Amino acid sequence: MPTAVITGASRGIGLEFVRQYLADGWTIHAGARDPEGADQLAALACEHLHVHQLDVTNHDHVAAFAKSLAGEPVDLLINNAGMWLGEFEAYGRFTNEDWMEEFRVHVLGTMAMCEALKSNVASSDQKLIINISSGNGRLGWDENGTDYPYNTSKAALNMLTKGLSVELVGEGITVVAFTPGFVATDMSGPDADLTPQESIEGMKNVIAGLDSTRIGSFLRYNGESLPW
Amino acid sequence: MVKSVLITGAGRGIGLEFVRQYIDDGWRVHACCRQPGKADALKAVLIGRNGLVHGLDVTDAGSIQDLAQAIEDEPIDVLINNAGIMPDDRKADGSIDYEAWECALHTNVIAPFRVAEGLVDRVDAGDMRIIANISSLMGSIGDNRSGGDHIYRTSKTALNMVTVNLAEDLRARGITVLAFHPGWVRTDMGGPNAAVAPEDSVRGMREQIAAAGPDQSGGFTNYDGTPLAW
Repeated sequence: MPTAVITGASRGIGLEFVRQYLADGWTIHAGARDPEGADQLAALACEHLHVHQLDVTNHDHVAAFAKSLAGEPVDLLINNAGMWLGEFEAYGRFTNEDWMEEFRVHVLGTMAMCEALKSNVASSDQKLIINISSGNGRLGWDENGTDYPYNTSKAALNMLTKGLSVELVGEGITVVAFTPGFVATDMSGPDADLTPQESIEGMKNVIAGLDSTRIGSFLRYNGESLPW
Repeated sequence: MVKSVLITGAGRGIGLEFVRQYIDDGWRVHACCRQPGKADALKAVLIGRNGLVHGLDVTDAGSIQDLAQAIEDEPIDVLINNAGIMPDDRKADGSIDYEAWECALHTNVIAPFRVAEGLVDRVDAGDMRIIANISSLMGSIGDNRSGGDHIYRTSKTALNMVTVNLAEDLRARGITVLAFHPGWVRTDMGGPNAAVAPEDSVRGMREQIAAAGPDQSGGFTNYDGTPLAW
């Protein structure tokens, strides 16, 4: 059975990815910043689930994670770890450090994971890297509000996705970005219109059918292609 | 009424060329650079003319505040966020230079936002109410067919998002926010083989700025006005 690495796996979308791929019989390496406090993830414990302490902004964590997987093929790397500072009613109500932290988690952390696990992915059968982005990262969408740290970091993640997709195609690796939809999680709150089950089922179907025409693209959970 | 412009990163390259052309056109010019003591070319352009050199580190909140105070009685018709850096992706050992990445995101993304935020009242007091962010085609996701330069590319994509979001936030105040690709310009950054002369790039952007209004706000264009893909 295939192997997947999923970051930000303790709750929300990451947790649901773990749940569904485990149910399919996959081996999962799940990254969580605080494994001790990840009760829902712990509840999924089985021989196919390996939980690692992983803060993607911590280079020592990323290095240790990669070391523990040395030589093991990774069919699917899902860069899901994300954050959101919260609602801003007016621009400017955040510090430079807040903003930089969103860049670290969404962009630099994604790069760190891709660099660290590139050879694992390249040696697998499926060779897939999925970056969980957001519709808020769309430059041409006029309804994404003005949450500068979130919007800019997700736009930058989309650019990184495109750039990595070009660089890694030579190694047979497919890189795409997804927007999971407005999913009801701790991060999005109760107004969301999609359950995690629906969103992840959708993304899994699309992931299973990815072909070369979709390399470097930005996809909705249902497979619809989105403009940047 | 004499128009006024404030330009960051004015010590050399595209910024310096903006200073030259606006001063020649009779504008009042506020030219900002990190080290005025070393900006000999800039001083030579402004000597005896209607321009001032300001020391400004765009990554330093206190420095932006000092600048805002220094010009608190003056309207600014056009604010040009031009200061930017282009670091290499990798260190000598081949690893990604995450420190340089943060530095680029600070200088190329957060700083233009903070400068706009700090000087928005001055721009509001002007007649033209234009903020121009000097971006790059390398920030176009759709145009990225070669990969590489992740640091510079992601920073310019993020800057484009700042342009889009500022346009939205400042629309009600009648302020127009633009993003430009200056072309591949013969400067220290662009190198000697670049296709476009600084004079032509800046002349083109000045024409676009002069003609811009609310309908153009949030747009990303080439220096000659051609719309570019996100």
